[in-house]
Amino acid sequence: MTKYFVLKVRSVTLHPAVIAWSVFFVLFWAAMWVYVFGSDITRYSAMPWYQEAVAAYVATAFGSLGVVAMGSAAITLTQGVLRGSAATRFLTRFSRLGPGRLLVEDLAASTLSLVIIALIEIVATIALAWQRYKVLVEPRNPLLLAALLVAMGVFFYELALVSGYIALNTASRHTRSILTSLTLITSFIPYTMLFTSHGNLAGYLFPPIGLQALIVGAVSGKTPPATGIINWFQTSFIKGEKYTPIDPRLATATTLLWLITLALLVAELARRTKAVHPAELA
Amino acid sequence: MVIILRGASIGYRGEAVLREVSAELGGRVLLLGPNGAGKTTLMRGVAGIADIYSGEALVDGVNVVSARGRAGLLGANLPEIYELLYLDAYHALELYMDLLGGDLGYALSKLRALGLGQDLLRRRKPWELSAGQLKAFTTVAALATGARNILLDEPFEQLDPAHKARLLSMIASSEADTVVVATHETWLLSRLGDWSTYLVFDGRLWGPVRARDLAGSGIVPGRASDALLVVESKGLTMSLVRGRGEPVTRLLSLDRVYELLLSGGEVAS
Repeated sequence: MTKYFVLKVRSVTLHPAVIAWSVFFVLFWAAMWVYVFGSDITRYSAMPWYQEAVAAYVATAFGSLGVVAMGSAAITLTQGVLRGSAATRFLTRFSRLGPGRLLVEDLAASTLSLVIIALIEIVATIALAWQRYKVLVEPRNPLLLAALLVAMGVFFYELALVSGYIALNTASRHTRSILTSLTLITSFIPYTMLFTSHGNLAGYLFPPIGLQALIVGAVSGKTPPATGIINWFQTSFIKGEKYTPIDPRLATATTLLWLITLALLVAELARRTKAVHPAELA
Repeated sequence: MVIILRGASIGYRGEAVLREVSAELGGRVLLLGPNGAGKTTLMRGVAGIADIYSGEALVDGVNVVSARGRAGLLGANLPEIYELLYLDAYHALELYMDLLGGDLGYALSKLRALGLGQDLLRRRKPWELSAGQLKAFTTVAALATGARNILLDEPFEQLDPAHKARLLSMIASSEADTVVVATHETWLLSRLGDWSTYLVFDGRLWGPVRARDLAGSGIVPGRASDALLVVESKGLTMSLVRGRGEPVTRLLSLDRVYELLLSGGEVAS
């Protein structure tokens, strides 16, 4: 691991805003899911499906909150593009960190940082659930879960860079402010989709929605629909009603298409973007 | 080993601050001019940060626009290039020494001599340092890179006299092939007498002349026949001549040149 890789991970994961908003604030909501919204689940502790139901519920909690944590932490990546544009231009020219090396190391370090933030959420939610429900939720498919988290991390990384580069080129402070928070705003879309049913198409059109559903599936062993997961949990999971799950292959294919498109957009915007002094952005 | 500007127009957002500048900056070079003259823009252009609209800037023959991954070619103390990551000053320094091939031990010892110990560096982000501390930090970082060419923009600004003297000694003992110092402070002329000096006014360069010659000269309005240099800026013409006129060093800062010219040669001390 290079010094840049290590220090990039450090700069993201130890950023005060990330610790406050991506870790502690989201942990607060994880506690709400377990102790308030899901407080009556223990009523079903005698049912044969209790453990599976807890696993699905907890996966829904940390799946959605993990997305919010990643989207929130990705704001620091967008801000990094803004503050670091001059540094990037200088260092890619006059240091060992050429454009290719920067691209690879920054992608790897940023994605790892986002996955670490999401894992903190996952482990904490599992611990809270164990304390409340006396069920230790173990992902049925941990490798798939890891792959889904990486895909989510790459998506938010690329979105953060695209937002950052567009923000750099916009003169309007209001537009810049919204663009800086775009990853966080985006991360709430799948959260809202937990409570409303719009079919599976939404999961194919927008990766965080599809990936969220696949995360629930990787943990619980039962693939839910892309949207309306709370309703699915209450009807299909517990009562056995029929439903149409999200198609994992189609969701994976459209996610890959998004990642490639965003990567091309990042490359083009990076090429066109000029350095801006941080003071000009204040 | 030299920095060459060939008809370079440099600026930001489509607007040129420096217009068709040509110069060879090699060895020890002072860029002396008032605030807003274009000194920092010149350095930002050479560092690849500002845009070059026409002409070219070469560092040891390498065009800065197409330069990639050239560690050891150029160091600079422009503060914005030290804001890559959200790190405390110590880890930022560690990162930059690693990326630029510099000497972390040298940098830390020189910073300690300037009152910036490791404790302070670990507690503050670079942008949380005072203006003088930030200048010292970035200047030492640039010197510690060991690059063949070093650009120092206003390295003495907002430093106290003792720290100015220490930093000057560090700059003077640099082993880089080319060191370019941009400043508006005229006291440097007598301290760096052998340095080649360009005057920078209104986006153009005049020179070079030896710093000690400039230190012994005065400014007179208009075009003098015995002038070391004749400078035209903002519709005003001035000549630098030996032994008469308003002494350059008495101005303390070249920001007062326009005041001098507009007053017809008299300046309040």
